Amino acid sequence: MQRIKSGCGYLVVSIVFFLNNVYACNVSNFSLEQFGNGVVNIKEKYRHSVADVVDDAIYIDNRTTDFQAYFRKCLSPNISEQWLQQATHSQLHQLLYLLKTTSFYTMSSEVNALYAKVLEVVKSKGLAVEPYLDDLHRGYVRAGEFENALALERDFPQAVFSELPEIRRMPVVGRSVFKLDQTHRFVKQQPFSFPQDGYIVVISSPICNPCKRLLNWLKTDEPELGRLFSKHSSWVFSQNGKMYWSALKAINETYGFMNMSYAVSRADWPEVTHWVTPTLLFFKDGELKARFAGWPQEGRAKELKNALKIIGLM
Amino acid sequence: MTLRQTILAVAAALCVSSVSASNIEPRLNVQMLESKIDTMLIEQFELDFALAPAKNHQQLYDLSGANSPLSLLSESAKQRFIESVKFTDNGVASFYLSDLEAELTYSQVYRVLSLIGAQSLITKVTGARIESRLDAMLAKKGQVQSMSPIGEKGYYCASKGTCRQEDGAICTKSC
Repeated sequence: MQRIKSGCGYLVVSIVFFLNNVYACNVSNFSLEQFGNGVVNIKEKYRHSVADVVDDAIYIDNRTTDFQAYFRKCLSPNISEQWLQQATHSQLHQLLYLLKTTSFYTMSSEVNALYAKVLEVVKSKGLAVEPYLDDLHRGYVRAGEFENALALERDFPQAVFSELPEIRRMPVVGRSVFKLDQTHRFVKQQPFSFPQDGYIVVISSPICNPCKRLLNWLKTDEPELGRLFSKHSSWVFSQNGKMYWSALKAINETYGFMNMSYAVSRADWPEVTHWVTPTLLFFKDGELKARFAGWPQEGRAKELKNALKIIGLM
Repeated sequence: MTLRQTILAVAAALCVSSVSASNIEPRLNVQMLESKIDTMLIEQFELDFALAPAKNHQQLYDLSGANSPLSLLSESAKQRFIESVKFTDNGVASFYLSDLEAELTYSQVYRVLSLIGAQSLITKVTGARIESRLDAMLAKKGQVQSMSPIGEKGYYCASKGTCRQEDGAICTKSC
């Protein structure tokens, strides 16, 4: 027993050591290669742990905080004005590539600001900025900096950017979503609150094939359930740099029984531990009672119906 | 404007001109056309996989020798790419594109994807090197066909029927 205990202790210490060293960096001897290795390490850490975790809350997706901490500790303090001025074209290209990945996971204005600063240097050196503009645009969109994204569109009218709808923000306290207007011309921020009794929130995306599989099943195979979903569910899409505006409008037209909205902030949804699609969350009087993720070819009808029973919708 | 949008715009115009004769709503025709294009692309994806030389990891490892397009990748990138590929009976469900984009030309990426029957997803590749006319042609494919019913970039097939946001990955309809 003692050996098992000390073995477990060793394992815990090893895991803690590994986790701390994922972000290790030598501040006095900074190199982009070193930072790049750290980025790969963080991605690998989560890549290997994702396979069997989706259905429960044991595994927490901490990529956002991990990448943010790594950026602040290992990259941001080392990229000085002097470093940028002395950097070669290849180094600037590599830095922008790493910032693109960091932005993907952090969704942070801080990373966008550095990306924009590096692009200014690229421009001042007479190098082409066009290949990098869409990545900056996506960075702004994923961080909710829509005004900056629009300004970029105005500054570079010839560049090709991913579609951005007109977004009308409203002062909202508490949870909110960007809901498609009836005219389908813009989205408007609206408060979100749980109704009394049972309610389903589906974390989804207009371009997610398993989500479309679930929608088709509700529309064609189980129209009665489809009707139930039309009254008692909200479909929420957490964009990551691309709004897929046309796809979202198309999916709302095709599947009239639901209305997909954009999440305003992931922080509004503390119940969501993994932003995978589709994730079905079952609430009763605003309290989470059941959840599962994924809709494979064979479906998950039994689990869905059980969950609906738990929240009193069946 | 993408190729698909151009085709649909032309189709919509044709529908409008013939609407009085046929009494069919133009938007319905556009939707039907769009659905047909999607079906064709999906069938092509299935066909590509059926004829692909690698349908599992062992076969992909066997095809990674000296004459393989995979040998153009660095050893670590090759390993990461091979391990990232998720095979199913219906085709490839997911893989990581980022290493291919970082180290290969567009035509080399196409040859690698052809090994697993995922060459139609070349439209999702960005930032690969352009060194020939062929590379330039393949790079253009992505610009004219940005949306695809087959798969989307920025997601990885985390488990059956579940896509997770992941930089540089692709989650396909086979997930």
